[in-house]
Amino acid sequence: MLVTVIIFLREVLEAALILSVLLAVSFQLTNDRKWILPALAFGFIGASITACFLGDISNLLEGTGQEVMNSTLLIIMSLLINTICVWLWQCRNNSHADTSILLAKIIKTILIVNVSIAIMHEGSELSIYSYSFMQIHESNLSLILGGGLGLGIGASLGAIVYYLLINLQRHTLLITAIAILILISAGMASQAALYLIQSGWLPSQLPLWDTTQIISERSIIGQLLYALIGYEATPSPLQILFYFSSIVICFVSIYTLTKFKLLSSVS
Amino acid sequence: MIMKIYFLIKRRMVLLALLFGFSFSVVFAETPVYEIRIKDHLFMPSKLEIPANKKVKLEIINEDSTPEEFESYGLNREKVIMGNRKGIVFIGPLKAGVYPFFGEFNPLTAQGSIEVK
Repeated sequence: MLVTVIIFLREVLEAALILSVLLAVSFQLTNDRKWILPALAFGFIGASITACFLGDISNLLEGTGQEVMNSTLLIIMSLLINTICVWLWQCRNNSHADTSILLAKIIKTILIVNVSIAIMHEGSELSIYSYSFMQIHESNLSLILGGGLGLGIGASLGAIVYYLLINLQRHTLLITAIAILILISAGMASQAALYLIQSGWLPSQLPLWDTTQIISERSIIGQLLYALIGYEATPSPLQILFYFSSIVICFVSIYTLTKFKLLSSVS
Repeated sequence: MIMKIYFLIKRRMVLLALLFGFSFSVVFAETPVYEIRIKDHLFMPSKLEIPANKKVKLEIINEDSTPEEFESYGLNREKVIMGNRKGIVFIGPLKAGVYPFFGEFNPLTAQGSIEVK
């Protein structure tokens, strides 16, 4: 049962973190949390479809379909999160009420797509695991208990993050959220690079450093850091490049889009 | 005249194809392939030896009817391999040492390690 708890917790933690940060900022800025329902629905549908066809997807592109799909999803999420960061930065000074209806709709769509992909990405593995579990074991009780427990702990941690953020001052909330989102997005970019290295699309290199002795990826802190900042004990140079490129892209887009007043209020 | 051009093009195409085929075989011949089988939620072989500082291709064949996830923190790899399917994972170049891996869906039995020498 412990195995089930760990698997569920690991996957849920990442999705719950993104979800709670986005939920907190959208509630603060637009007073709207309803977008979460279509996002959850699309996410679960996407996860089930991916789980059903993963065998065929994996066989695509000479057996690298799974990695190419995962890295594409991660890069899309990374770019969407960066876009949200730009929006948050521009909302620091003006209220969301100034925002045009069109922009509000675009932001809502970005939030829905982003959370759907996050749930789809993490959820497909959970459905495959559950399916495999049910085939091997006679009783599903430990799957239900373990899965429920993992899901519950992950969701609770997400809720804690949500309530911590929602109680911050508006300005502090936005800056904190931007900082967390930039790191999550960078972690996703680095993860995307890893999948491309694994499948042979990008060249393999020796890791740049090894911090396993300090914080192991297997430890609880390692897992939390992985979800939060994309912590990797033995990153390859290309992963580092993707990680910092994502951060630079985010800063540059915040700077340029704010300067030229794109994606800003139309009042 | 047209036939002559046709043959000329055809001959060039054959030459080009040969050249491409040759260069591809050179590129791929450099990456050694190692096979790991999954049966009854066990890895076979559970201990694999590979050369240091060299990129290798792991072919993981899942002979069980259930899916398994090949996972290794040391190697930084994770890949779901569905039942009765095959998965490819490139690893390395690596420094000498022992790198454990496991099947995330059945970690109590599916354990193994790669020794880099």
